[in-house]
Amino acid sequence: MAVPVMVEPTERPPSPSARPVAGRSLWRIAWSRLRKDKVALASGAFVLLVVLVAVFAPALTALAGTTPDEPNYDLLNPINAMPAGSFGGISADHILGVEPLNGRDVFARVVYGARISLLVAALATLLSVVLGTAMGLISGYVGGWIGGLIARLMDLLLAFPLLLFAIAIVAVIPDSAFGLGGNTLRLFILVFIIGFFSWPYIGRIVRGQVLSLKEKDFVAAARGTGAGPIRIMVHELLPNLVAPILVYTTLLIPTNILFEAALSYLGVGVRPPTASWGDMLATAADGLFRVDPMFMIVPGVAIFLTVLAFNLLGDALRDAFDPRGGG
Amino acid sequence: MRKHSVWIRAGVLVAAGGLVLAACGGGDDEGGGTGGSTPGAVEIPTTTDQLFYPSDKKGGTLKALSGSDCDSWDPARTYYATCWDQQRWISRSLLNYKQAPNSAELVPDLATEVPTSPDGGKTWTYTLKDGIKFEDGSPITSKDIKYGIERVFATDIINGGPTYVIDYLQTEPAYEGPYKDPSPDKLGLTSIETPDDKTLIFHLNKPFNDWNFIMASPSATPVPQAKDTGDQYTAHPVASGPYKFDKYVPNQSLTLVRNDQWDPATDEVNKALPDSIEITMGLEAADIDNRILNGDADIFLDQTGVDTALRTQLLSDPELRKARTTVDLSGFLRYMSVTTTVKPFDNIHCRNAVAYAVNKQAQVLARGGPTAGAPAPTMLPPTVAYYADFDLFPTPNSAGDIEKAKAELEACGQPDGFSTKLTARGNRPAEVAQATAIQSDLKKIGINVTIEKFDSSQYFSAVLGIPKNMQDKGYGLAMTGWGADWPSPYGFFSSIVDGRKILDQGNSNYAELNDPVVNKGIDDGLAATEDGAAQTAWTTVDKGVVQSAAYIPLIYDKAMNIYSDRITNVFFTPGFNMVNFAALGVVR
Repeated sequence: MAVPVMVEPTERPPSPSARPVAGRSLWRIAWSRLRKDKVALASGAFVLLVVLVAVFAPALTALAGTTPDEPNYDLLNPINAMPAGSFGGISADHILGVEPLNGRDVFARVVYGARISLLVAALATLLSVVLGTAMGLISGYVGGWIGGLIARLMDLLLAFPLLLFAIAIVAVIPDSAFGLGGNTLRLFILVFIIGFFSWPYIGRIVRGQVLSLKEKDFVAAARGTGAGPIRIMVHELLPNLVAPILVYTTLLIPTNILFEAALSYLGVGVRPPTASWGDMLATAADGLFRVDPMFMIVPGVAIFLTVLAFNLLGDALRDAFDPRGGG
Repeated sequence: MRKHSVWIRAGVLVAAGGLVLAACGGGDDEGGGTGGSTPGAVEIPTTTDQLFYPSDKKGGTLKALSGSDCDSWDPARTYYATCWDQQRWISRSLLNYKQAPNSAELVPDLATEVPTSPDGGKTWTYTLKDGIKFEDGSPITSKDIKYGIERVFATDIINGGPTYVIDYLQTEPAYEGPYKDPSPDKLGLTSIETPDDKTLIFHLNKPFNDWNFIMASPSATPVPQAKDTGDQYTAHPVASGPYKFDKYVPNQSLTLVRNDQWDPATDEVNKALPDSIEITMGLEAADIDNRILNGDADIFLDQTGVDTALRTQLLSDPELRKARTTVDLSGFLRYMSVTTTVKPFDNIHCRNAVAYAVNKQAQVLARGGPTAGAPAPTMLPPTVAYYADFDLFPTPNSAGDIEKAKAELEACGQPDGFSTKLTARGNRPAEVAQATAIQSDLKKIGINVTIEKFDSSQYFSAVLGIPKNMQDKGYGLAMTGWGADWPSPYGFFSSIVDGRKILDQGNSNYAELNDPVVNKGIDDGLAATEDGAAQTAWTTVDKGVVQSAAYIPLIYDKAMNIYSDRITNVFFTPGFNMVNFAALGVVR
């Protein structure tokens, strides 16, 4: 595997060239490559859009004049409790239609659902990145039995039947624990489970990088100047790991979005009436989608597009930072 | 026995529901893509008071499907209504339900007549018919029936079924069943006398006017002592009815063939039209619906109705539902329990506020619309005897009354509302939809509801059934439902509202309602010997419960079922709260 090594421009010998060339950092190189990648820009823009939608959900729904939790029984067909009107009850007031059985506005629920999906995915990713980086650094740099133990722990966690474990743990969670209650506790647990079990993905990448980096001269030089292991890990190794970590973070977020959706689908996500994409899919998948396909299409498309955008962005970032790798 | 007027009233209610349906259909073009939806377009036959496809033609194989095998084929150990209904193919009881649409009238089966008690419900005497035989040709005697009832007492081996016979026939010292019976003939239960092979005399330990209903249940099925295999009896219960076990693979299939020892001359109840019955078990709901639509099967024995998607398809496609879809009241009430020991619901005004705020039309929609249920103002469903129509919390169109609810909150000293928790079965999507609807209803009056979801397997035993748990966790509201073991108000009310039956574990009076008027009404109703007094007593109970607002009736449940296009004699029996299987045939 290719190892992106960031070489400080100042360490380079002065360019023999007549015209002095401005030192170009890896970041600037990556940015110049990204700028030319239309797919990356589009995905990045979409990701930004979804984040903005999640952040400004209350304002957006207020603008549309809808709320996520309020039922509209008058918008249902009184015979079968399905949305009245075509395409899941799409109208000027309810631009994505209404839910069967209770007439809640689908647009408002998708917009609010983005908050839960993104919040859980982002926090869980943050947790796994922090854990994974720390563990990967220690495992790779310190080595020895500690390194071996951490490496085996990562193997163990990667082999863990995570979904089953998540279902089991969420099913036995009390109403309140750790001073938290209700949905806050649920979110905390979702973040913890998803984050805790996905840190080895980052951890293994970091460990691999560190194993090769620590043999480099600049690390030996630092060690020679008397730098301690913590200083070397934080000041010498970490800056060289930012790029791969960023890439894998971007790739981990969509995985976690799907994971949250899967957990909600299996009924261990947030509680009603809080909207989440997975929960909307789960309700639709109970058979209602056969009658009201829009009910499944809307959250399904939201998940699909968001995951796709994050993945494309992650791939583009990887290519930008390391055009030799992957391919 | 039962007043016929009760059933006429039930019929009127169902018919009125149909009118509402038709009226709605007229005002809405979105009948579902059929284009010309007319008011008549969604007329669905209700079996509740009709007989469909009458036929006396014998022959053919009835192909039945079920979601799962019966809890047991041992008549003493089964407790599912559908299995009681299926038992009628193979076993006969002393009494049975009349084979007529929506009739809770009891008729003699193995007995020669339906007895009355000479002493106010303590002594009951039954005489057996001549010519009744088991599948091996041996005659059925009073001792076989006594033995069958005695087995229920052996609760260490024979368990799972109803235990009413123990409640009313237990003696001092306690009888522990035939397997521990010291008497040589194993017929040591002194409360049942068998002076000869044709006579059974029951001496109850307390008066019980509903005893005949117990004798129409599988508890009163004869079991030949020589063929009793204890806990293995489910593998091949000895037939006294028109069919016997042919091939049984537990959890997969059961084939029943004609019992040649069964004499139709002794049986005015069972028509026994098909030559054989094939039951295929353990199927998924969608698979079941498809097989019946394709004509590969005749009936879904669970009778829990089609799923939401097919329901909507059927409602929008007259060709598809033609002549093979029915909507029955299921005899099941869906209601919400308001825990009287959780603050602030110890104050009746706070409970009243909830009762006024709930939109029962929204509850109907949450379950899938008018073919899934009807708004319920009373606890007793219209399929139970002595049902009376009243509404103590009237709101416009049953859609809730915010003003009245707020006034009650004021009276409760909580004008700004409060927070509480509502429990529901998380793996029942319709129940979660109901709970979510209630959550939004109560939000309008300032009551913030948190929905707590549980798995249905532990919902009643570990959550609702333990009063201390409800109090400790502060579960003020609970979604639940109930259907009676037999279609009498005592069978419906006794375990769910009697304040003297609040248990520390396995409690069914979830709200812990202990109202002297309700308790006395249950005693009066049980002791009543004539219809007028019984009607007064049970209506007092029903009104007392609804008035207490400890239980808020939400929906009379309905099931929309489909059948093959060859099935005959489809009608509803309140005894099982579903279609009567024993009458079905497959030749039109």
